[in-house]
Amino acid sequence: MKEIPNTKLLVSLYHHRSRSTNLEIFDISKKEQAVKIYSLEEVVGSNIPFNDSMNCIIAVVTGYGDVTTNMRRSILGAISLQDKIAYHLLTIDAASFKNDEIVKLSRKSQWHPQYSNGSGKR
Amino acid sequence: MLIREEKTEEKKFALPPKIKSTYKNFKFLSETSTYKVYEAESCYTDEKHTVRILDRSKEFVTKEFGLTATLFVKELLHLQNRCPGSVITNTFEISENGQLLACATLPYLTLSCQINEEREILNPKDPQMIEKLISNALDDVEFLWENLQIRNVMSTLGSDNLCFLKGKGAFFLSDWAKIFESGTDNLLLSVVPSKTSSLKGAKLTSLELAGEIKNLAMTVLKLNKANFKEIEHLRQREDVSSEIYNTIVTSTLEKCFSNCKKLQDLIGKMLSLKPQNLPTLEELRFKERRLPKLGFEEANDSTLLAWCLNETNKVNVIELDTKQHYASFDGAQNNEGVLQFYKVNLIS
Repeated sequence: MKEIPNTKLLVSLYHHRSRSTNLEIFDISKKEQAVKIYSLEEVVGSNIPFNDSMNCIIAVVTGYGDVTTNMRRSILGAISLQDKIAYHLLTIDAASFKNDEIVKLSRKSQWHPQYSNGSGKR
Repeated sequence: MLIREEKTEEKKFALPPKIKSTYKNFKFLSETSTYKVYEAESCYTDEKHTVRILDRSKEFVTKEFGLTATLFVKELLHLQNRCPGSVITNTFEISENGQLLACATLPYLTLSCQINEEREILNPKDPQMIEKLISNALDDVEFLWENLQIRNVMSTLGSDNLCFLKGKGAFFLSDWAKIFESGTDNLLLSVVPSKTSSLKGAKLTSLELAGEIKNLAMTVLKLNKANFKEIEHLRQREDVSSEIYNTIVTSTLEKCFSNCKKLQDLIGKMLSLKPQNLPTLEELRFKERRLPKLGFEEANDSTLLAWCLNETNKVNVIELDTKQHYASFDGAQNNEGVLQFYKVNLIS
């Protein structure tokens, strides 16, 4: 889970190391009324092998994987799908008046073959 | 405020140099009786702001430049005073020998956008939102009555100029000049001091603001797509039975706010035919005072601590200052797997 800086938006990420991942964004600007404003469809097929070296990532978000934002450019990147998608890129428009316009999936970047290596695919 | 249907229409407009160098991608949003409103992106942060520019092509502006320029600035000063941080102060600019005035604010839209089904701005059935709307609009009405001696504010400005400033979760009235433009003669009559308590230094009462309160309640009904015309029609009839009127008002409000009896009662009183049944101004503002931690501004100002739970991914949020519960909800889920670590997150 991670906040989107300078907004009242929380990104909640759920990774299973070998099966699937999911991402949702909540607006918590109102007390007791968290509103889900975006849900990425569950991404099935991820197969990231367990590796001690990934502990640093585990410490950043719940489960495996990471989410990162660049609010100067209003973008958020998260979730790879091994061999298919390197990352999902979402645009954030926190000033939008309509909930379904605050977060939009901007692109799914293609997986690059050089991301795979001999010891395991990532 | 007029909303242009043809969004693609490119309107020629002069930009003050500083605004021109600070913002890009200007998109025409609407126009008031004296200024045009654009959406623009900051060249430095890519943030979207609303830019208002005094429109010298308007006949009223040309004729009454001093008055319209003054009101342009007064509106901004009042907005900044009401919602600190809503006006991007450093963007305020006067150029061309005082002829061109412009300033950027946080993004806002008029409620007419929602009434005309152009855009969804807010949930009109949310009791907190409606209470905030009533309270904020009344604050502006009182300000205009007391400081500018303007009357019939809501009937002239109405939902066309009642704006929602999302970043602050606040409502405000814009286009004050419209009241002056719509009838200078009437205005002159209305600004003549009358024997109202406000002019003796005392606070306004709901009895004095009865017309404004009624129009505000009508705006709320409009926003909820309620059948307000029947209520309006009955109010105009002198021989209307108060029982019939109350029954219709009650049934309309039950449909609009089925989950909030308190709000039904409040708006019912606002629409009462008998002046003595009107809610006091205190009652119309009670939420903000009694529950200071509710609402958007407070949420923006408080420091929150959020964390999610192992296995369930349930997210909990507390207010760090008071250590009180703020919200809890289920985070993202998938059908399989077990989560393995906690993550805490400070939200400034």
